[in-house]
Amino acid sequence: MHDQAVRLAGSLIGVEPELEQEFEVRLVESSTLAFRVAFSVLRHRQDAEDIAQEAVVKAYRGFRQLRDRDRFRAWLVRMTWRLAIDRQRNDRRRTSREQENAGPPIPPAETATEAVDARERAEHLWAAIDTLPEKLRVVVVLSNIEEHDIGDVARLLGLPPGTVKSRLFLARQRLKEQLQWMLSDETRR
Amino acid sequence: MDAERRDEALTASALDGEIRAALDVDPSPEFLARVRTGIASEPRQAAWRWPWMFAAAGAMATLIAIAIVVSGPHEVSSVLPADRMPLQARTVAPFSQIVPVASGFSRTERSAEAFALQPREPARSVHAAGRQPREPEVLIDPRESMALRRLIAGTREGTLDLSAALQATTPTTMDLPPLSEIAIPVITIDPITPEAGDEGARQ
Repeated sequence: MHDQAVRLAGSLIGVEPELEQEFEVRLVESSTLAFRVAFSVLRHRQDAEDIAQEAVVKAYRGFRQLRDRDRFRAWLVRMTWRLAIDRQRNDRRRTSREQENAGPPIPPAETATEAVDARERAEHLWAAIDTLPEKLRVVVVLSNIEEHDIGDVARLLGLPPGTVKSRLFLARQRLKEQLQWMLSDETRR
Repeated sequence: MDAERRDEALTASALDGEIRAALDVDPSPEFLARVRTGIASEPRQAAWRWPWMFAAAGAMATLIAIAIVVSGPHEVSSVLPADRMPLQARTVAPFSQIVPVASGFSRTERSAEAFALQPREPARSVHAAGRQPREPEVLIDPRESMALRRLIAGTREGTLDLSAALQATTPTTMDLPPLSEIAIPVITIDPITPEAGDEGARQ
């Protein structure tokens, strides 16, 4: 009885700081990933930061209930993706307006011509990515963030590696076709 | 130029490179600070400490309940041997439960049990007895109770033969001696005569 009381008191006093410290570590290592996942959907920096923040706060609320803490990144990525998709669907009009204003991110270019080309290519790329079904899109996005390999993406999505591999192959095929069609259409014009 | 661009777009590595470059965007420097502020504004006590508070309250309530049960007045073990149980502790069966039976020995259904004086029911505690309304005690002479016990025990063991008592119907009438004539002498009352003398004479 006494041992149980001591354990209970110790858990009441000592667990919270440990949890807070652990969460802080995971926040530092995963917050940028959450932002990029949100950005891949919304393509707007401020919106992506809002969604990433919302996801992190939700993760904080549920961190105690998370049994396997090593799956925190996967949990956060899926939550961020879902929140971003919901935001995109619920607020599509506002997002498109801001996209018009802000435009997709432009890779660094040395000359003005290169900058224009880069902008066009980025617009085509995002337009092609947007045509993909959601389950292919998330695989493509995650495999190109932070140099994730097939195994990393499989762990983040909770899918078998073979499924991720086949989805990635399919997504690349569709992207190629889409980009080829866009470029040929542009050439015709 | 266009053909070169198309060929470049078709290679998987170039495609991944472009996507990677498009996604190579870092959040603003204030992002992490904003997230930390958002977390700090969360109701931390409610989010993380309430489950522990409920658990602690439950544990305390359990401990208090156990302490009350353990430290309460102990029940008096009133289980006595059958031969030492006082008869006055027993109550008389109410009239509603008394039914006539065929046996000539037992007059009621419960009489056999009632007079067996063996504690069929679990012994009542002092608290239980205190909660019940008091009934008038039926006092029986210890000698009578002892005799009854012996009678019942003998009947059970077969050492007593009660067949005669069970078969008895009505007691036989006693033969009375014959009536003899009573001689009553004649009573005669003599009249009272005044004695001679002055006493009682008018002057």
